Amino acid sequence: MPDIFISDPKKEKQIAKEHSPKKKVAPKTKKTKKHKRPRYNLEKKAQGKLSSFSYLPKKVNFETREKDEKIILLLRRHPLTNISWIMVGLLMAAAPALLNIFSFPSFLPNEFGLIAVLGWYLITIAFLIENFLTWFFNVNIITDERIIDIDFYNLIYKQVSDTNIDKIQDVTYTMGGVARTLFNYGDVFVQTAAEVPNFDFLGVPKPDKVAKILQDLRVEEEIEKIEGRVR
Amino acid sequence: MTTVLPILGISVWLIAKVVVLFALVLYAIFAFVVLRQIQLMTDTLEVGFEGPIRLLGISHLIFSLVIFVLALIIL
Repeated sequence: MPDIFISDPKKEKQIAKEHSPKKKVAPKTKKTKKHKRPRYNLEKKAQGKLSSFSYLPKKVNFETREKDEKIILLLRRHPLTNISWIMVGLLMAAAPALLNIFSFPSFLPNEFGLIAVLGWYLITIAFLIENFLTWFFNVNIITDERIIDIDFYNLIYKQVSDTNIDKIQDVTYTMGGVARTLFNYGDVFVQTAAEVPNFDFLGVPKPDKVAKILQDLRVEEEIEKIEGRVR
Repeated sequence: MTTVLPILGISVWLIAKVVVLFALVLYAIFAFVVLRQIQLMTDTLEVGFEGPIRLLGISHLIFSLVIFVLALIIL
């Protein structure tokens, strides 16, 4: 007599499956689209340490940077703006040789002549170093939260001003003159509602791109405000 | 080198030497200030180029000191 009470294990599993409480599936909701920063195809261009236009620079840091603050742009004056002091420096370097032709320091004893020439080269080197440092360290930085203007006026005076992106009221850029049009550099003027009313980025490369990036950052900041993601 | 001031009886070139050495001391102080300035600047902004710039400032200071010593010896 067959044992009718022994159930088939396969069927048992199937029944258990059918009667088991279904896993709660989370209702599908529309994913909120996070605002993406537009790409400008600038990442690969001019990322050197002496570059005057660095987009998303990697090794840059500054004194007042916050932990999660991302540097978008580092700007210096266009290298062409250095031509004047480089020319003066070269002339200064060539001056002792030129003066020697006219035997100018002939009234000096030889030792004094040598020290005078070496002293002149010291002054020339100091002139070149000072101008290079002024160019290299006078920068404008744009981060995802603020714009920063670092100015070194002379040996002992520096000024660092910054303002939040959302305080920017107006961005104007100008490009005029042959050299500026040929080599694509100009001035960007930023008006703000902050304590420092104007931020001037003078002689920076690609002023149109700078203005565009600033505009996009303002839009991004507005969206963050609406979404309540303000830092 | 034998020019002598009539009143004091001191060589003109000795006075010139003192003036030059004094100027070179002032210059060495200036070179030191430049080095300090470089340090302040690199503290304010780091771009991964601090080493060569510091080297530039140190070389400048050393160059000024070398010229001072040279002037002290040959003048």
